[in-house]
Order: sequence, then structure tokens, then C-alpha cells
Amino acid sequence: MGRKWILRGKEQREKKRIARERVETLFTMAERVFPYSRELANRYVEIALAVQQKAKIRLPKKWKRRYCKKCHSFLVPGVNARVRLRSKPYPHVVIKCLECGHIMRYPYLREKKARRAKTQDQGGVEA
Amino acid sequence: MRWNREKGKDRAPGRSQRPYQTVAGRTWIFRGAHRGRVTRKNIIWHELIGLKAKIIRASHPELVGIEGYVLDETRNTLTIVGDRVWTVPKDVVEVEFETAAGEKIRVDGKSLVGRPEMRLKKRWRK
Ligand SMILES: [Zn+2]
Repeated sequence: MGRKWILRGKEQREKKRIARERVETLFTMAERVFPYSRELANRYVEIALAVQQKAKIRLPKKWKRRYCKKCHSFLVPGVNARVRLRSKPYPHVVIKCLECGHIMRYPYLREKKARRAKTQDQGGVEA
Repeated sequence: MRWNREKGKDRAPGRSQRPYQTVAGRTWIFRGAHRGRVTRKNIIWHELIGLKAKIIRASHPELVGIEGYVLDETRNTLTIVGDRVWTVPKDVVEVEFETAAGEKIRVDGKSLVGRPEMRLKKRWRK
């Protein structure tokens, strides 16, 4: 019985690895195909998200902000997405999907803090 | 799993062929796009989109010899793009896939039947 459980764990890990590779492949393909066929790029995003949900894996950071959370279209900044930095209430990135108008906000406080610490370190070395 | 049902962008039969036509003849787009380590064992669960494929055997003689990259996949069909676009039923063909590593894998299309995200759920190593 123990053996069975070990096998099942192995199977799960293997499947998750495959799922991660599939998501990576699909998003790469979406990026490649986007200039020629947006519909196809959106189709790849759709499959990638379906695979991600089925396998219960995290979406890689690299691709997390590259699709619209509402209409699931692949986003390319400057073509069908607008990316702006805002620091007023708290530092954040605003991404607007120009296909459906959905607005997504992501904080970048952590990056900013890391950067501040870094510059301070450098200042300390210089002084 | 359907998100935008009201917009009618379903992958049900009768979907427009238009998204594929702009890619026909531009197979260089897909060179090196596949990021997975596909092997003979795991190809049934892996991504077929982006792999090079060649039809080796088919019940329908016209399908034999089709070569190109897999562009799309539905439950029962593979869309392959070469200098034009073909839609091939899975269950009547035998396909030879070429992986990024250059390995050639022969698969009976019957074992690939199933929606792309559902193939992941298929039984593991019977
Ligand atoms: Zn949108």
C-alpha cells in the first residue's frame, strides 16, 4: 500500500512538470504567433490556462501579466495593452487591456524597496 | 471551462478557419518554440502544438504525407500547417512527431484523442 502512494506522488510530480512545460510552450507560441494571428494567440492562452487549472500549478511569473484576466487575450504592451507606472496611493503598475478595457493593477513596492536598499548599500560603500 | 460563451468564441465545430490562414507558409515562426522535453513515454500527456508532425499512415490516402507544425488541437482533430493548412482527424492516422531534440516518435492517433487539457488527465502508465 505504501508503494502505491509513493508511485502516485511520483506521478503527480511528473504531471506537474509536464504541465509547466506545456504552459511555457503555449505562451511562447502565443508570443510568436501574435503578430500574424491574434485569435490564435488567444487560443493558446486559453489552452495554457486550462492546462494550468487542470494540473493546479502556478503560472510562471514571466507570463502572469501577459494576458487579460477578464477576456483572456494575449497582451503585448504598445500593441493591445497600455502599461503605466503610478506611485500615488502606493507604487503600482497599471496594465490596461485595450481589447476589452479591463484594468489590472500590480504593486511594485517590493521591487522599489529592494532597489532603495541597494542604492543605500552603494552609498555606504562610497562614503 | 468556457469563458466567453456570449461572444461565441467557442471551439465547437464550425469555428472560422480564418485564424489559421495568416500563418500558412510561415512555419519558421514555430522553429524552436517548443520548450518541453518530449519523449516516447510522455508524449500522450505533452503539448502537441508546436511540434513537427508527419502523417505516416491514414485510412484516407490523401492525408498520407502531410508534413508541418501542429498549429491547433481539438478533441478529435489536429490542425497542421505547412505551405497550407490541413485539419486531420486523430483517430484514423498514425503520426510521426519530431521533438526539439530531433527524436522521432511514432504515435497512433487513437491514443491522442481528447481535448488538449484533458489529455493530461489520462491514465498514467497502465
Ligand atoms: Zn481584456
